[in-house]
Amino acid sequence: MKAAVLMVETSGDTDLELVERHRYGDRAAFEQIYRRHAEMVFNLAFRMTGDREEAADVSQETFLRVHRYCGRFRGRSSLKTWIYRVTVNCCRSRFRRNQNWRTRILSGALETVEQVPDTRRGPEDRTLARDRGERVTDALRRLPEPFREAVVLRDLEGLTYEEIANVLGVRIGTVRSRIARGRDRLRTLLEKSESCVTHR
Amino acid sequence: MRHASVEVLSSYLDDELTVGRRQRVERHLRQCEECRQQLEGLHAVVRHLEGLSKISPAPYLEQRVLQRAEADPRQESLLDRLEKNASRLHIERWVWMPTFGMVVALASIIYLFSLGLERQGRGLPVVLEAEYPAAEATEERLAASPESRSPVAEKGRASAMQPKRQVVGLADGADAGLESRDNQVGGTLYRLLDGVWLEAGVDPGATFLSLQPSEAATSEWQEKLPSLEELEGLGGPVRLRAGDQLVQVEFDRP
Repeated sequence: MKAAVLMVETSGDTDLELVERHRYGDRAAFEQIYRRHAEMVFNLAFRMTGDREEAADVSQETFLRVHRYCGRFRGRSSLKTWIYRVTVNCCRSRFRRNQNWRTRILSGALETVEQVPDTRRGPEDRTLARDRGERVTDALRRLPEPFREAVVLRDLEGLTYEEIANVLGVRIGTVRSRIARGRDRLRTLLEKSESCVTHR
Repeated sequence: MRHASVEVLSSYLDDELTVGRRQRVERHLRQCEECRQQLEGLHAVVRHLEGLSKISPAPYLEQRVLQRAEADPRQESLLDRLEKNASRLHIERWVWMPTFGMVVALASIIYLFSLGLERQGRGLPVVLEAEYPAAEATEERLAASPESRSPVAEKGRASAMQPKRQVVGLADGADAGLESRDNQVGGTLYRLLDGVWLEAGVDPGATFLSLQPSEAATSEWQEKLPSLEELEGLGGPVRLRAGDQLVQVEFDRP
């Protein structure tokens, strides 16, 4: 994974250079920014919303904001952190706009996640992994928004506490507490769903 | 034995504890089965989350985003535009940045100054006036007749003394407000602000008494400050009784 990132970094301009080119109206620079961060934005949006369509809309909105306000990015944090912040803000505003969506999340009526098949495992293992993946995704959807944000940024995106504090605009102590409580809540939810499966 | 909190255990998993704290947690974990189990539970959650697969965005998304972005005008900040134009004119950053800063600072000063003028224009500052009769005459009378120390007894005489009126200064109505007390005299509301009676409202032509207690004034006097009705027409300096204490009150003079 590290090698892949390194290749991206060395194969072209740095993020800051891309932003600079974009500020001067270079369309290709924005395309590169998109390609570099599209998967990260989509995955974060998907884990936050639990819905592919919503995640696609959030991604689009995020990149339009990036396109529009890139001039405000001054390189105080990394571009990645800045884009994370924009994505989280887009998710929050969509979440507030769409109460119906919240209801759907809580009722668990969303699509099941189509996992990328892992060919290294046998068919039985793959089924088990898919089941577990679905249960984790479902539990994640049920977490309160602030806990979900912190847990996703930490355990799925691998950000440090400091980066998360920067993205969410809160203190490190708050990040620490949200991650801990989010994980603890997830543990309870997963234990419940596990016992449901065993009793079936 | 005190258990480790979920916050501490979660931070321990992320290696976000100080060395000392980490060692204490490890010592505790060696002895406490319950905390070990909780830590394992949290660890399992992290493993589950890390095991979730990455999802690729639909291929149509790139096209959609790029098309929308092209149609969406990029919003340039003022600094952006300045920098762009400056670079076209081959003006270095170190030249235009301080110039721009100075222009902004100057504009801010002008704005603040105009705010101040506007405030003054609204008549917020209040004219303070002192009203007092010929001091010697009053003091002579007070000395001659001990019973005339009563402010009420002075009232009738004061009207014949044609008090002088003098502007003694300006006070901002908002800034003057410490302890306040209201007093209604002949349909006009007066307000006691920091020991000074002011006509309530903003009126540059306001007429009111400005009283300052002498050094002998006590907190008791402050408590028993006579109403404006009692003082009105007396002029100054006047002597007032506060309990057994005689207090000298002088009118503020220019």
